[in-house]
Amino acid sequence: MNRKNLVIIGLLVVGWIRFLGQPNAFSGKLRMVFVQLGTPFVKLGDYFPFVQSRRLLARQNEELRRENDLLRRQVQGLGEVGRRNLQLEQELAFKERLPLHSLTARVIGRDASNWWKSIQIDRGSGDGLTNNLAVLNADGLIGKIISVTKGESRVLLLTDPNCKVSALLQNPPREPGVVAGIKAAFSSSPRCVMTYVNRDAKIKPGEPVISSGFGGIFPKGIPIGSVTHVEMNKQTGMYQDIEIKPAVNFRLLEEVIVITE
Amino acid sequence: MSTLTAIVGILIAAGLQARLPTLWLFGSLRIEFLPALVVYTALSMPRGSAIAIAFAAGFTQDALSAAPFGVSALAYGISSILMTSLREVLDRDLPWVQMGAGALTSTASAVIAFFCIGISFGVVFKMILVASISGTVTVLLFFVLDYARMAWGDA
Repeated sequence: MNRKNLVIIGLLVVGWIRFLGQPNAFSGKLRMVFVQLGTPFVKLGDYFPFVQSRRLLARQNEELRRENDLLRRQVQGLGEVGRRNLQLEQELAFKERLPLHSLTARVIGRDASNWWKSIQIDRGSGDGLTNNLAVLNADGLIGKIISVTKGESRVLLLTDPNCKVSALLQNPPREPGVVAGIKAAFSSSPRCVMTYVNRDAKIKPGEPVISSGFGGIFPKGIPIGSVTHVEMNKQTGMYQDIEIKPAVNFRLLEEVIVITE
Repeated sequence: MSTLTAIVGILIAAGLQARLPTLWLFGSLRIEFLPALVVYTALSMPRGSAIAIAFAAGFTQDALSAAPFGVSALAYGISSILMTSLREVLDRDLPWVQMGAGALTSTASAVIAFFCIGISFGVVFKMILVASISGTVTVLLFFVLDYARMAWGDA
């Protein structure tokens, strides 16, 4: 390699750090151009069902059948009291959710890279979406919006290490902590870690974890997942690290809800 | 291969990367097509066009990802500069050269990503697998595109 190439590479690295490495108007506009160029080709996948793996579709089918059977049994087993209870619960849930304005969106693409975890949805600034809006579904928290164009947005998933959520354990003593994805975990079932949890707290596997509402992005009380493993922080020993299995199956996401207010 | 064909190829490859399901058997790996395309253009097209296409490929991948914008562009750009300057030494028709170039281009992208996300044993293992798959994809892409060029002439 000659000296000229080394100089060019050096200039590229410096240029990237100066102009693109930090979020600014120039990199934002350039990104938007490439997003608008690339998105139609991502959407082309809608017309080619073979891009969905047969295994995935078979599993979805199996899960839906099982869910259908379960729901049928539940409906059959519900008496009048059960029906009334369900109705009251739904009304209560509706009232609780009423202050939150939401919007449904379809997942149109995944992350094109192996090193970050995000999805692309078919709603954008034209639908009133902005950065840092919470995204969830019926199972729980999915992530937050990190970039928006007119017709699409990118959602950083809870399983990405850069997505940090203020959380607490649902059961008393409701210890707080911060949930983030595990660094590019090499696993087919993604995991998260809840850090800064009181070292004296007694936590059992299976305990549910919910969002705490601190930070202003994620509303309080959204399920995040359940505890799978607890250990003292190896580096400091000052707090506990809790491994969490997310409540959401990120592989099967098709529709999501964006909390707009 | 004309520049226009290469640009369409980049957009299709990026669209496929963002839409195809991951290989769950290999820890949810995503097949990368863009490194293969970058290697193919670097070893087949004029230097200026090949480097410009490499940057476009990186920017497109970053636009369809949560990555800091320009990370992949930097990796693919540097890989393309190095490959085009070593073109006289590299025999593009040798499958091992194609595979090595594809794996190294993919690794360059991963190494730059590590500066942003940190490094761990799992990450390194994943990088080796991604690089191996990218190398294999590169050999297949060379075979298909060379055959297409032979059959239909240079588009």
